[in-house]
Amino acid sequence: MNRKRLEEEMERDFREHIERETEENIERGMTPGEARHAAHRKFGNVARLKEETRSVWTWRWLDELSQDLRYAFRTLRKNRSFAAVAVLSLALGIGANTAIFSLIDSLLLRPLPVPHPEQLVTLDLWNGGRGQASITYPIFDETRSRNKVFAQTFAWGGHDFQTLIDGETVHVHGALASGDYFTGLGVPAIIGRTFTPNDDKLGGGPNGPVAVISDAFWARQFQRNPAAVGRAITLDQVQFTIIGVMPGNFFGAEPGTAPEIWAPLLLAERLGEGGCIRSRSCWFLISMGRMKPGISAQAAAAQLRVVSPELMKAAEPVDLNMQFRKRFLGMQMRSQPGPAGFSSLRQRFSNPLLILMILVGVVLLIACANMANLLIARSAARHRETAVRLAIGAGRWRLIRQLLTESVLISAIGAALGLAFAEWSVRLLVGFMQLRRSPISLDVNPDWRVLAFTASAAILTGLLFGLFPALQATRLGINIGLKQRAQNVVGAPDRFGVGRVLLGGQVALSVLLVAGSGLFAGSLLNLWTLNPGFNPRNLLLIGIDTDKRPEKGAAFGAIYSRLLNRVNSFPGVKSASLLLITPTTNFEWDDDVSLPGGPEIPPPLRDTMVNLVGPRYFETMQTPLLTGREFNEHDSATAEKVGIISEKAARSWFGGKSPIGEHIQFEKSVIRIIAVSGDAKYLSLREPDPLALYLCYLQNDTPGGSLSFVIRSDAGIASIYPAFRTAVKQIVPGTPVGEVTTMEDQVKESLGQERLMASLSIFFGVLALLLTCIGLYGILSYSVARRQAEIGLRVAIGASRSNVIWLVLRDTLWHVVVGAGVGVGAVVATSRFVASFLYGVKPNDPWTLALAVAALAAVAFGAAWIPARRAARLDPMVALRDE
Amino acid sequence: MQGTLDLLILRTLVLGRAHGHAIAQAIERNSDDVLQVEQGSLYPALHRLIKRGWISAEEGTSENNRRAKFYRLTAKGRKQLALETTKWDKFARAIAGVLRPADQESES
Repeated sequence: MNRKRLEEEMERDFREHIERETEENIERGMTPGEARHAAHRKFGNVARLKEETRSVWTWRWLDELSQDLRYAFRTLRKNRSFAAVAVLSLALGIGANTAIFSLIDSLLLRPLPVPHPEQLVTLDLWNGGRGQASITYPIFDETRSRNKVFAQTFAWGGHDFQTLIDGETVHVHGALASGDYFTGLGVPAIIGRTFTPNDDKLGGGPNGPVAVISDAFWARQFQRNPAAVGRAITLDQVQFTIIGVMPGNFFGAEPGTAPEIWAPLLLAERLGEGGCIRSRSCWFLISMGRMKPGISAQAAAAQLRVVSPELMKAAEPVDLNMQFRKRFLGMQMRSQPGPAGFSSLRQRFSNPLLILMILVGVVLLIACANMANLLIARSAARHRETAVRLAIGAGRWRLIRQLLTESVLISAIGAALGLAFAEWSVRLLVGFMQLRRSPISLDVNPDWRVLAFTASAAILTGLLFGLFPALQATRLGINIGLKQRAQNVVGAPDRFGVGRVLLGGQVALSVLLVAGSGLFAGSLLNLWTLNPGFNPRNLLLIGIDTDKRPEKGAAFGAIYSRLLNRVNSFPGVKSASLLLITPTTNFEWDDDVSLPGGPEIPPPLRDTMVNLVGPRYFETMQTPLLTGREFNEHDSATAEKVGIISEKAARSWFGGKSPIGEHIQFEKSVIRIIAVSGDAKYLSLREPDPLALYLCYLQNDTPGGSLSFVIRSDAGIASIYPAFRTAVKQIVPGTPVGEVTTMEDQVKESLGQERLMASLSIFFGVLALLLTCIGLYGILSYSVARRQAEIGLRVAIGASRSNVIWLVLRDTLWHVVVGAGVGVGAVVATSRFVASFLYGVKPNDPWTLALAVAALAAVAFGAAWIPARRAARLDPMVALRDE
Repeated sequence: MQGTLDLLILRTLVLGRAHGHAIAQAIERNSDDVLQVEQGSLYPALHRLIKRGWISAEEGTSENNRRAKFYRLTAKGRKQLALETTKWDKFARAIAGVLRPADQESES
């Protein structure tokens, strides 16, 4: 029905009706005036009836919504400072939530950007407890041939390719993938083709060794020239043909990684990982499957369970002892729905992210409480307006809806801003999670999940903080509202009002957040300041990659000796040495030590962390040598095997006796101890100092094949690195220089998770304090304004300034005491859940708690001071006359 | 009682088309109090019935040569009325059945 016509007809209908009624009334003997009046009264409220009639035809709520929105915009524009505070605090609250959620989304929830990700399953070995994702080639091969549930079973292993770029050998991160990898993921190449099982043959398929490259590599190396397909590329000294380029959003099945080159798995034979294909104990593959259409995840898992025993038997490593054999054969192949692919980052970051999600949730709650308070204060100021609107016939529900529209509008604007804030901060977060060894590249562009999350956060918060104030504002009777004046003089402080409860809750949540950030920051500080047993300052680390050098044995060691001599001659180098395993990188080489002819070492004291080092190692690291001497060039392959043990090892194995000259058995050799060093960190700063054994690189084969240089120098990387590269080019041409860093950066990086938790929780803690401060200030300013008359009266009858200040502060004190009490209780109840993230602080550390309460008290009184002073300066005459 | 009002309107229109004021008067005459509160509440009801297709509206001229909007029962409305009347009768009988024993008790 046409809108305008409806209005006209209604108008005419109503008018005629009333006219007829009036005429009849005149016939009944009324005066014309009376008659008209009676007719109107009998007809009823024309405006409301029109509204009702209209609502038969229209979506009235849509009309009203746009009315409400316009009204809300007008109100917000009138209260700019209120709007700014409200929008900003919500933007921070919602933005922080969106940021953490989008990380969780990209790491845990988001399906792989491939067709039908719901058909994908991840495979792992399972013994009833924790699953183990890495498997051997034989296990993969047996799984592939024995299952009937997967259309494709595929596997891959990360592999750093050496390739020659601009005359320099560099590492390119890539993967070795089985023939069905691309078909299994279902993603075709954008140009050229992907490889297939036909190419995945020992020694190469019909086209020889082939490789597929990423869009990024294509852009960087070939400027997106389509002629790249078909070009030859040398990878690990083997000639490959590039056959295809993958689309830009393809990263394989491991979110967080960004491989740039894929080569067929069986070519590992020719790429230095040769042993791994035939070896039954090289755990280097991750595997997944794509279920055949019509096969359910349960059916797939069930079938794998059935074939597991024969599969494991067929793939059993040959060199296992009885105990390990039993454990191996007891494992079964497990398949789990894996639309999001496989990611090792999940284990590392899912717990910190969940904790952060809770923290930001608390921040948002505080922001909500804050908003509710501001709205209550403001709606109290709008009492009269509300009362008038109720009096002239607005329905209560209608008013509530209008108030809610306003609060949801505020939170929607906040959310829009928050989305921008999240975009920026999520990149910052990913930066915190970075490790140089395996750079993380996560797709954190907001997808529908993130947008839906933000939208629902906006609506929910809007309703959450808006509903109560709206109910309260519209509850008052018309009379009370209009007579509000009378109430003002005696203004009861309504100590148990909702506003007060909210404020107390806000204080409690803030105490929780601040105490949490105190715990995380304290842990970081403890780790940061502990003595790792070496001095990380002014210490450079440079790696070179000699895995593919032809030299073996003594000749191999000689390369390093020559390089080391050269490095020691660089200007600015105080001392330099070599090491196999850089401390705090979580790499380890450990094995059992025994005493030949001596007493048996109890089992917990046998396991020893081993490192290969060069001469002057302890001098360079500034790890003290307690007795004995450093290694030197005479400790060669032909000389007697010698070792240096840590103080803890000396004490554990020899008690108070001096170990110098004693012998220990390690792997197949007997080693004479020549020195005892101070204890030092090995795996990470968190781990206690281990029992350590240092061996000389000249006397031992290097597992893995590459050592790093450790250089003590005041000159920075910038001056040492070019000289180092030149030296490498001259002495071992074609050998890639690996990562360059400082020990300080390495230690810092090893604390990535702790830094993430500490800096974010401090940020959120400060945010919570700020919000609480705004909330307190707002509600106290309002209450001072409202009690102006009362305060004026008090001053008039003799209250002193300090009386008045106390009157206002007393209120705050009450909130802080009650809120802090509840907050401390909450900390005590919840902090043990984060115990595993702490170092050197107890979850209920009283100092941290005291500090949190003190910080909150300081902020609270800071916020209360201005309104209190304003109250104290009130001129009683002005205040009372105002009434 | 929205449903009652709807039923009364339909019942009134069985006798032929009528304008709003006439419907209101007829209902007042026949039903004591239903419309006593507000005559105007007839109009939202009329529009609701139009929307359901039970009545239709047309322009016409009234007895004293005045242009007015007339409402008329549609076939669908007639059917609906029959249906509603049966339902209503049943309901009324049921109520009476419940109330009668009580009446007798109080009389005796």
